[in-house]
Amino acid sequence: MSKTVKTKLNRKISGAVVAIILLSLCLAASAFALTYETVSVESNIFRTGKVKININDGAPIIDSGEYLFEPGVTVVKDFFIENQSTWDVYFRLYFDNVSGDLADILEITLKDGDKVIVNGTARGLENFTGAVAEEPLSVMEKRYITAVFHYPETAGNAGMNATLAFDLCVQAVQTKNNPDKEFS
Amino acid sequence: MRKRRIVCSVPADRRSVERVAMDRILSKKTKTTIVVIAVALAVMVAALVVVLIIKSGRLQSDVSVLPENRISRASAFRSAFGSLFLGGKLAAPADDFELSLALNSDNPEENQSFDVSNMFPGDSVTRNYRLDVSFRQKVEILFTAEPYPGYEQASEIFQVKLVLVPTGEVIYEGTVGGMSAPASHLLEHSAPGTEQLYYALTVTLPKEAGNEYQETEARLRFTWTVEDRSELIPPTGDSSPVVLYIVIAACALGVFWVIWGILKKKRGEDEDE
Repeated sequence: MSKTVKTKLNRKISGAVVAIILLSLCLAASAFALTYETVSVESNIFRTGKVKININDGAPIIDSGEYLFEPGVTVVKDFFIENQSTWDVYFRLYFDNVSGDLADILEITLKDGDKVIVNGTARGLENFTGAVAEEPLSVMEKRYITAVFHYPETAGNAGMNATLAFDLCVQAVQTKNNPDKEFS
Repeated sequence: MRKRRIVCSVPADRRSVERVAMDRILSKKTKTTIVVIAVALAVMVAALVVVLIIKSGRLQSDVSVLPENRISRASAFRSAFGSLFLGGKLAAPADDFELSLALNSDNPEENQSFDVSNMFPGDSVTRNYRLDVSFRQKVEILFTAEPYPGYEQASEIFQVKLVLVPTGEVIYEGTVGGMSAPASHLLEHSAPGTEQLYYALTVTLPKEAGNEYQETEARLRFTWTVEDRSELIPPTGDSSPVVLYIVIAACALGVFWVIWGILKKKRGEDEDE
C-alpha cells in the first residue's frame, strides 16, 4: 500500500474517531437532559476558627542561676498569656518535663491577679489538669500571671546543691459550645 | 504580481487503485459497524436538538392563550389536597408551569448560600430552601451534598441534616463524607400540579472535630435532582413529548439513509468510470 493511501486512510479513521467522540458527548448530554432536572446551591463556604496561645513569647519565666534558693527565700516572677485565637478561651496551666531534687521541695503558687490558680510542688503540678483559670481569656487579651517560688523554712538541707528544671505549659480551649470547660 | 496556482492532481487510474486498496483495508464488517454507530449517533443528535429547542423555549417570555379555562370545586379540592399533603401552597393549573424544578424566588431570605466563618466544634447553621416541583403523579427527589475539588478533606467531617419542614421528615442526617448515595424521597399526588418543597438544611461542625480542622475551609455544593424526567410536565402543556422525539428521530434516520444511498450510488458511478 502506498504512503498516500496510508495517510488518507489514517485521516479518515482519525476523523471518524473524533466525530464519534463528539457525537457520544452529545448523546450523553441529551440522555441526561431527558432524564434529570437539577437545581444547585453553589459555593457554600464554612470556615473554622482557631485556638492559639502565646505564653510569654516563649521566654523562660526564671533563668538558671538567676536566684540562689535557701530556706525562707521567695521569688516572684510574672509572665503573660495572650489569646491569639478567634474566640474567647479557657486556659489551664501545668508543668511538664520536671527534673531536679528541688522539684519536691520548692512550693510554687500560680496566681491570676489575687486569685490563686494552683499551688504545690513542681512534681505535684506535673501534668496536673486542675489548674484552670476562673476567668476566660478574651480574644487578643494579654493577661499577666504571677508565679511564686518559695523554699520552705522547714526543708532543711535536703535541697543543698539541688536544681529544678521544668516546662511551663498552658492549654486553651474555646468557650463556645463548652459550658463545662472541657479541655479534650 | 500575478499569483501562480499550482494544481496537483492524481490520475484517474491511480485514484481507483487507491480506492481499491482502501476498500480492502476497510472490511465489510467494519463498514457495517461504522454505519450502525453513525445512524445511532445521528438519531441522538436529533434528540439533543429537540431537547435544546424545547428547553430554550421554556425560558422565553411569551404570551399564550389558553381558551376555555374552567374552575370547578372538584379540581380545586384535588389541587389543594395535593399541596397540603406536602405542606405546599395551592397547586397551579397544569398549563401554567414554566419550570419543572426550580428554587422559589418569592422570599429573598431563602435559598441563600452558606457563608459562615469562625466555626467551632458544636456550631450549627441553618438555611431554608424552597423548591417548586412540577410533575404529574410521582417523582423521586434526590439530594446531594458534595465537596468542591480540593476541599474534600476539610468538608467530609461536616454534618448535614436536611428536613422537610412541613412534615418534619428527616431526608438525610450524617456527615458529608458518609454520603455515599444521594438521599431521596418520593413525591406523589393524584393530579398534575406544582408542589412547593420547603426544606431546612442544617450544617454542623461536630464536637469531635479535632485541631486538624482549625483554620480550614470547606466548600460544598447542595444539589436537588428530580429523577425520571418523563414524569415532569413540560411548560408548553404538551403531554406527549416522547412521541415528538420519536417522530424527529425517525425523520433523521430517513434523511440519513437517503444521503447514504445517494453517496453509495455516486461512488458506484465513479468506480464504473
